[in-house]
Order: sequence, then C-alpha cells, then structure tokens
Amino acid sequence: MKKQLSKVKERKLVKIICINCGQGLKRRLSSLGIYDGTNVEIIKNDERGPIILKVFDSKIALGRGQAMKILIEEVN
Amino acid sequence: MKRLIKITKNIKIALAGNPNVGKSTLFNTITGTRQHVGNWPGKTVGKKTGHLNYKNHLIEIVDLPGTYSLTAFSEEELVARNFIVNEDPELVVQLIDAANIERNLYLTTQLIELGASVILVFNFINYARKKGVQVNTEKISQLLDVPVLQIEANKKKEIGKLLDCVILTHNKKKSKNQINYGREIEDHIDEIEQLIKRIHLPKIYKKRWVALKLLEHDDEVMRLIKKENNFDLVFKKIHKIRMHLESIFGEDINTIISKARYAYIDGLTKETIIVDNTKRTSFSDKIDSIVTHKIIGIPIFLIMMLCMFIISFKLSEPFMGLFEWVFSIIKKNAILYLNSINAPMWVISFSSEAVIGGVGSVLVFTPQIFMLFFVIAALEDSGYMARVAFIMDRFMHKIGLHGKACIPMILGFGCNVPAIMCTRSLDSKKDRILTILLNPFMSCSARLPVYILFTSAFFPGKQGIVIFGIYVLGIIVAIMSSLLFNRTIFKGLSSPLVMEIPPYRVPTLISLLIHMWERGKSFILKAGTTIFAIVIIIWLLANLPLGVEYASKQSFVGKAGQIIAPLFKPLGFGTWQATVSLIFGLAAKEVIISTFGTVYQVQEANITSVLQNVFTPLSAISFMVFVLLYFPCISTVAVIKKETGSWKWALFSIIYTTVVAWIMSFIVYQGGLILGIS
Repeated sequence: MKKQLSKVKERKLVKIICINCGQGLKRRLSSLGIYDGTNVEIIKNDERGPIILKVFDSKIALGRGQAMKILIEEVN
Repeated sequence: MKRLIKITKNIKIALAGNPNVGKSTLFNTITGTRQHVGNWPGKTVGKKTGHLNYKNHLIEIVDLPGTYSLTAFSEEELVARNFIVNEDPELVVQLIDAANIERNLYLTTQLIELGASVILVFNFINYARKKGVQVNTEKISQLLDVPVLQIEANKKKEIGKLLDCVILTHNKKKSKNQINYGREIEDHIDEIEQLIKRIHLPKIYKKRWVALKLLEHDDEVMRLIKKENNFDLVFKKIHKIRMHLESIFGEDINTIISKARYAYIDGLTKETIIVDNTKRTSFSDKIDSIVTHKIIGIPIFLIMMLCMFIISFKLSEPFMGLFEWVFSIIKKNAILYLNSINAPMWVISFSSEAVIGGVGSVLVFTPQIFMLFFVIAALEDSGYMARVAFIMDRFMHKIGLHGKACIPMILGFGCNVPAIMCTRSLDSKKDRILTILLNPFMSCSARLPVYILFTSAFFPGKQGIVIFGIYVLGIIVAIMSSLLFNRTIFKGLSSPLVMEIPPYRVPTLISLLIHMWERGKSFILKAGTTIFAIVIIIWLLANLPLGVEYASKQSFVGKAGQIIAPLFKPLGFGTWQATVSLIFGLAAKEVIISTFGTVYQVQEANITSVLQNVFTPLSAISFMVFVLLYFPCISTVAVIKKETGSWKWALFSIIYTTVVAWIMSFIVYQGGLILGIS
C-alpha cells in the first residue's frame, strides 16, 4: 500500500516508490542515496517538523514538506 | 647555513569528498599553516589552497567544496567540477568515510566520469571497524583501477603515505577505467558520443562525460553545446534517446542514471565490504534521542546557547581588559611623545582620538568575536549544529527561514559580525541574504550597555523586564520582516531541508584554532579597512571646521546633529546631543554612552543624572527602541557587504533598519503620549 513518507512510524523500514519533486531536489536526494527503489529506515518522526532517515550508514534530515512528496511502501 | 631545497617538480592536486568526512582535518594536517583562504572568483564559496615541499616536489593542494555529487545545481558542486575540468589538476584525492562507503563512492563514480586521476583515501577506518564494517581496500583498488589508501586524517605521521602515493601516481598514465552503466544505457552513450563528434569542443572535455551530461540534461553542458552551429539537431536526437530510455525503464532519466551508478557501486561493495550488523554502537543514537527530543530538545539547545555566550564572554573578558589597557597606554604615550616634539594640536587629537581611540574601540571587541568563533567551531565540528537545524526547522520554516538559519540568528545576540559570517552554512543564496538582512535586529552585546544605562536611570527595579522587552521586540521585528520579505523581495518557499546528520565527533584543538583564526582574520582584514575609514570620517566631522572643540555644537557633526534633530522630535529625543550620540553610535553602539559624556561635558559616572533631565521615561524607551533597530554598526555593514558581495544589500540594510527604527520609535512615543504616559 502506497503511503507518504511523512506518515510512517519510527523504526519502520520502507521502500521508496516515487519522488514527486523538481529535478534539482531529486538529484540532491539521489546523491544522498534517496531514490526510487531504495530501502530506508525512519529513525525519527515526531509527527510534526522534519524527519530523520537512515540511508546507507548515514542519517539524513528531511523537511516535512519534502517527506510528503515521497511515496513509499512498507517492507517487513 | 640554510639548506637549499631543490624542487624538481610541481604537482597540483585537488582534495575532494563528501561533507563531514574529515576533509578540512586532512587539509590542515597536510598543509598546517601554509594555507591561503579566499573565495572562488565571483562566488561566495570559500576556497582554500595550501602547499608543501615533499621529497623535492612542490605539492599544491586545492581544497574543493565538500559535495555529495557533481551536478550543476549547486554553486559548490559547480565550483568543484569546473575546477577539475578547467584547471586539470594532476590528481584528485578523494577522502572517503569508511563507515559510509556506498554514499561516498557516488561522488567517486562522477570523478571518474569526469576523467580525473583519482586517489581514494579511506578515513575513520577504526570507527568503521567498531561499527562492524570491514573493507578490502586492495580489492577496491583493483576493481576501480585507482590507488586506495587507509589513513587517519588527523595523524601527521600518516600523511607521508598519502604524499608518497601522490608522487608515485602523478606521472603514471591515467587510468582508462570507466563506470559501466549497463548495456542499454551504454549503447546510447556511445550514440551520443558519435553525435557530438562533429561538434568542436574544447579539448579539456571528455567526450564520454559530455555525452552523459547531455543525456542527464545538465544545464551547464547544454549551454556549452548551444554555442555550436548545429546544436538544434543534436538536441532533438538526444531528446529522442532520453524519451526512449525513459519509456523502457518507466522512470525519468536522472533516476535511471542514479540507479545505474548505485547498481555499479552495489556490485563493487558486495565484493569488497563485509558488514557485521550485530556490532552497531549506538552512542550517537543515545545522545540524539535526548538532544533531538521533541520536548526537551529545544530547552537543551537554549541552555547550550546560553553556555556558549557565557563561556565566550568569560574567556574573552581578560583579553578585552588587556586590549583596553594596552590602548590606553599607547594613547597616553603617543600624546606624551607628540607633545614632546611639539606636534600641532590636530595631529595629537587625530592620532589619539581617531587612530588609537577609534580603532581601539572596535578592536576591543575582537577577543569576544574570536572566542565566539572558537565555540561555534567546536559546536560545528562536534556535529551538534546539524541537530540544531533539525530541531528548529519547524519554527524557522513557519517564519519563512531555513532551519540552518537558527544559529546565525542566535549568534546575533552576541555579535552580528560572526553571526553574519556563519550564514555561509546556508545553501541557497536567497536564504543567506534573508538571514543576513534580519540579523541586525538581534540585539548584540554592544547595545546592552545603552539599555543598562537608560533603564538604571529611568526604571530602577524594573530593569530586567524592560531590557527583556527590548530583546523580544527585536525578535518580533525580525519575524515580521522575514514574513514581509518572503512576500515581496524573496518570493517563493525557502529551500528545502535536506541535510546529513553526521555522527558526533570530538573536535581537534588545532582545527578549532585554525577555524577561529581564519574567520577572525578575515573579519579584521576586510572589515578593518571599512571601519578605519568611517572612524576617520567621523573624527573629521567632529573636529572641523578648524579650531572647534571636539564634537561640540559648532563642529560639523554638531551642526549635522542640529539639522537632523527635528527628524527625531516626533520620537521624543529631538536634541542635537542625542542626534550626535546616534551618529557616533554608527561606529559601534556602545560608543553612544561615551558620546553623551562628551556632548554634555560630564564624566561618564554623571551621565545618568544628565539623562534624567533631558529624557522622560517614555522618550527613554523610544530612544532604546531606536538604538536597538537603527543602522547596524559599521563592522556589521562591512561584513554584510563582504558576505553578500555587493554594496547593494549593505545599503538596503542601512536604509531598511533605520526606517523601521524610526517607525517603531514613533509608534512607541506617540502611542505612549496618546495613552497618557510621559
């Protein structure tokens, strides 16, 4: 089931399905390892403000607005 | 006898890498103090170069901006890539965080695409091992066909390994290795290479790279091709290829290429890296669960900021005392000496008041500025600053600012100069300029003495609450201005928050000192000249026409005061004395107090009683509001000019702040009168 990244609970592993944003941000995200088809873990989501993802071995903070533009699928 | 060092060869190398991989540590360890800091021509991106002699070679090192990629989207990435293309360094040394290899190799693939001769240097090997990551560097070297080293970037004795490798590698033939993107894409890259064969390109551009960039729709390279005659046809064909690939993969071209790069990296790391997932240390995570906590995160941050100010002010106090003492001694002796050689009165006055007094009044603040730079560097290098941007992003976003803008705004309470210099951490130019323009409304420590003097004269017992109110007013004006600017001159959303949260690291003393020195020195050099010029102008105005008493009613500044004073009448302080104090306050706001002493010809201790005669409680508040908001001091103006790269924004800031100050004071004073307060 597709879901916005901003709606995912902490400690969940998700697969990125699609990123709806401009090319500039898209390239920046992919240079950080965030692109369609990758798995990332949500390590912080307070349901307001930015979220923190674990991508490869680094933590990436993402504004809530950006997180809303990323659609994901939960993986177990 | 001095031993002559015979230099047989010059080698130019560039240092590349992701942010937070210890690049500046490595740069400092290699070059020590033999470095030069400046800006890339026409950019606000900092440029560091250094050099050293090693085994008869003069090695020149250019520190490229820390980047994750080499697209044409950010200034930093463009600077890095243009340097590699246009300056053609013999070698590009990429520093890699051994605990995060996949992401770091993404940049490597692009360096290789660009045709650079790369040396990979793995840093933080021990840290990675603790996390359970084992790297087979020989295998990586073999597969990528580039030299690979392991070092600890902060250890001087390990640098020899790198330098030996540089000398050994630099005259070898370039590796012919290419990143293979899979057959489908490779075929089309070949096709585009054939297409652009007919186009005459500068020799420095590798055909394969240009082809790939055209496929990726890279604006810079597209512009390059647009200069050619038959670009239209080429563009059309490339567009067709792009459409074709996008329809096969069902994704846009950037995602296709990114995926291809990561697929290549994945293949590489599967053979070379072993990760033991059970061995995770979570020290960083434990700290993060506290400092980024949704409730206690912000209070912790505010306490940290308070500690930062207390520490830096306490540490700088003895130095400030020392500076003051030194300047008073110099002044005394200069006057004595000039008297003894019968120098004319104006020479004595010029040297003591303008040169020594004026420059001294600004230099007295340098210890404080340096200490703040030191503490900021510690917070930055430790990794805490990224957490601050994270916890403050929500609030900052609401008022139209970027999360990272929080630090410069808070620093403004100490001194606007280091605060404005710290806006460099913001990625977009719009966010930077906006943060710079709002900064002067944060009430710096130089304004505090003015508030203390006025509140002690008019609000004994209620000093704290009044001063607090003034600070809050500054914040409110900044927020209102931000909302206003976001709707007018800076339309559009602030740039998105996408930021790495680096692991915590213990900063090294040497890198903190170098950071502090770099920023402090650039303040003294660049701002110093502007400050000096203005101090001289003010002195001249206070002493001309010849023969008048310093800053008296007859002097130019006194006359100017009389002319301008009526403007301040509706604000409740339309006297020439108050006006002259405000004019002198342009240099530094704490100068306002000593100027009151001069214009009313009283000792500093007696200023309070004079003020009680010429001000009312209401006009005192109005005056404090004006001092809070008007004209950022000349050091700040000089830094605004330096950091925005033009006088335009400096002038805008001067006019905007002064107009806002006038309006706010007007509202306070006239509003107060209407309410029957006097």
